[in-house]
Amino acid sequence: MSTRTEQMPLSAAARSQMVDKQILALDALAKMTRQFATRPDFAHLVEVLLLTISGQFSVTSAFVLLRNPRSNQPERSFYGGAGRFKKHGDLANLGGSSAVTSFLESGDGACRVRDMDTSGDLVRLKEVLTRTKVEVIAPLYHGDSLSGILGLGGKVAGKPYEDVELSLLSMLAGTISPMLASSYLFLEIARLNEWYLDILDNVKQGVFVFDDNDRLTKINTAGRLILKHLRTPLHEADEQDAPELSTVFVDDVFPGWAARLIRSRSLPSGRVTEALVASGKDAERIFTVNATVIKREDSSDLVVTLDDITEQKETDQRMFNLEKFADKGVMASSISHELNNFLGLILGGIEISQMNLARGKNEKVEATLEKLRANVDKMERFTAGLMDYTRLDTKKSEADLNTVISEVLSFVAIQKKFKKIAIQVYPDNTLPSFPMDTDQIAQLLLNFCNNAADAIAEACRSNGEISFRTSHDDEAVVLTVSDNGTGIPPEVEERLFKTHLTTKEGGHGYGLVTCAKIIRNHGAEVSIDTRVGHGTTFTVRFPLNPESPDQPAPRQE
Amino acid sequence: MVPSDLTQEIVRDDTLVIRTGTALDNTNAHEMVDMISSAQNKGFRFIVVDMTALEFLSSAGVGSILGTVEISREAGGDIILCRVSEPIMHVLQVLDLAEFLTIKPDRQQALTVCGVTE
Repeated sequence: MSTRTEQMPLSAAARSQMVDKQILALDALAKMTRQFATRPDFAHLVEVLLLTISGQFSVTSAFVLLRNPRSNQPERSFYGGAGRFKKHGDLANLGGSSAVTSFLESGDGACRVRDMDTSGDLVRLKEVLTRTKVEVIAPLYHGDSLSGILGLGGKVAGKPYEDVELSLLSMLAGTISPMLASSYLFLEIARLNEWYLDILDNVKQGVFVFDDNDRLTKINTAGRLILKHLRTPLHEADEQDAPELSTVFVDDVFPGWAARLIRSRSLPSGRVTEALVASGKDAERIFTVNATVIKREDSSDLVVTLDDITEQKETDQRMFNLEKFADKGVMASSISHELNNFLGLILGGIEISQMNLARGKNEKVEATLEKLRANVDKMERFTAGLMDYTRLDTKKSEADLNTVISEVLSFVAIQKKFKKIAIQVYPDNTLPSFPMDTDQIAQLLLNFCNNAADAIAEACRSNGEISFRTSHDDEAVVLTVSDNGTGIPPEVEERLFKTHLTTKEGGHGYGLVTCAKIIRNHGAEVSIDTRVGHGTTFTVRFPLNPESPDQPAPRQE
Repeated sequence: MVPSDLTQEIVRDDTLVIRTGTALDNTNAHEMVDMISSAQNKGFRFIVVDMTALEFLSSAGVGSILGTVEISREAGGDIILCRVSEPIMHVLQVLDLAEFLTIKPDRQQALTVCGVTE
């Protein structure tokens, strides 16, 4: 595309000047290479390069336009300019154009813009270059990683570019291309590094990275804040000295942490998570501490993250207390509501009786008194129920669980509620007897039956099934009760066995609390296996020799 | 970064004198450009570059002046070099710049070009 004019013989003086110029150019390149080794800053390199070329070729303006074919659409391009070409929009826009690609693909060296071929894509390139008074351009190649063009304006003395100068420009362009490519790589790495550091500094968790020798190599902003808040002796100045893990997590503030963290290196999984307490000068904080070993070719880093869960723990505790108070409150209000109902009825009855007595209608008074008595009976039963809730008298004697089950089921099976439910019993016929309060166990079984039936009804199952299974080992008799009802959602499961929990319309929520009480009275343990939509299995382990009748109730907090 | 060996002195609200160190090359040429550009943006039409101490001028150093001189000239001012030593002058001549750039033997004459009398 470029037409090379035959080189005209130069005069001796001109030849000597040209040699001087070449020496200058080589000297400039050598200096630039040396500087690049210590400062591979991309923007700086482009700027110095343009200044050098401007000086070398005695031009007041030069530009370099670079594009990175590795990146996907839209193509990223860089533009640097000196003098008139500084921030020249037309030139900058050429970065992604196919015209530049065509020029680079033509494989020619430096050429004069006026000599450029005007076929195909190059028409536009030539047009823009002419308009912006670019006189010569040279291709910048570097494999397929970075490429672009270098352009110069007119020479200061208005002289034309000599052919030897074009050769010199080609040589310069060839030498600086790899330098630009490496420098660009540094730029990309620096950007990437900055990006990662930025992310690291914006995570809530404190992040500490220790090298093979357990020396701190990286810490993020959250990590520094943690140390600052706990007033540890680690100051920012020390950070540069790569302090040891035991200096970062000093035993005074982080008791036993350093030893645990260092030990986690030798764990086969190379990963450990635990909750640890730190006691700073002002406050105690609880952290979820995660230590992970990241193995690399020749070293392994220990990455420690700290998540401050103090507030979360406090909130949990507050919520728990609130729930406890709520339990008591709900209970008190439901009791007074019930009692008020009875008292209202009694009071009304008394008033009616007074009226009837005044009128001498004794037979009506008698009838009212009967009703009053019935209400007082109901009230008594209600308060007795309350007693049940607060204190279940336990009278234990050796008995067989299988027998109790069959007795309860013979009573249950005939009830309407269980008509459409298949009740299966899988008894362990070698089941030993153990001390139990048979009335309480019967009530427990009844409650399980009722709950299972309700869960099956809620799931609208036509093939409802409840199964009772007994088994035993040396220490305990095990009862499992399974149903294929709705299952218990996790948020409800968490609150099972607590006073007022009910998901049933018209239920009082005291059923499972009674169960818990009974289980506790027998020193037994209960576990629940439930899947929402599939059903629930309660497993109760009754110890054959309960040590204390008053072991803590399951899940009753 | 090493502290700049370039110093500046304001002699009039549109005239600035910049004194170079012993070298003006690719290590400090961009500082020179920054200094000149910022002065131009602040309205200093005339910039006198005092090269008394200068022993080495690379093409990047030359480029720092070439790349900025047009802006001063367009604003009706100039960049004037003064106290240029013989080896430095040789470099400027090889690059065909001796006639393009305004070069004066001393500070006094350089400032006269700017219309300043001291």
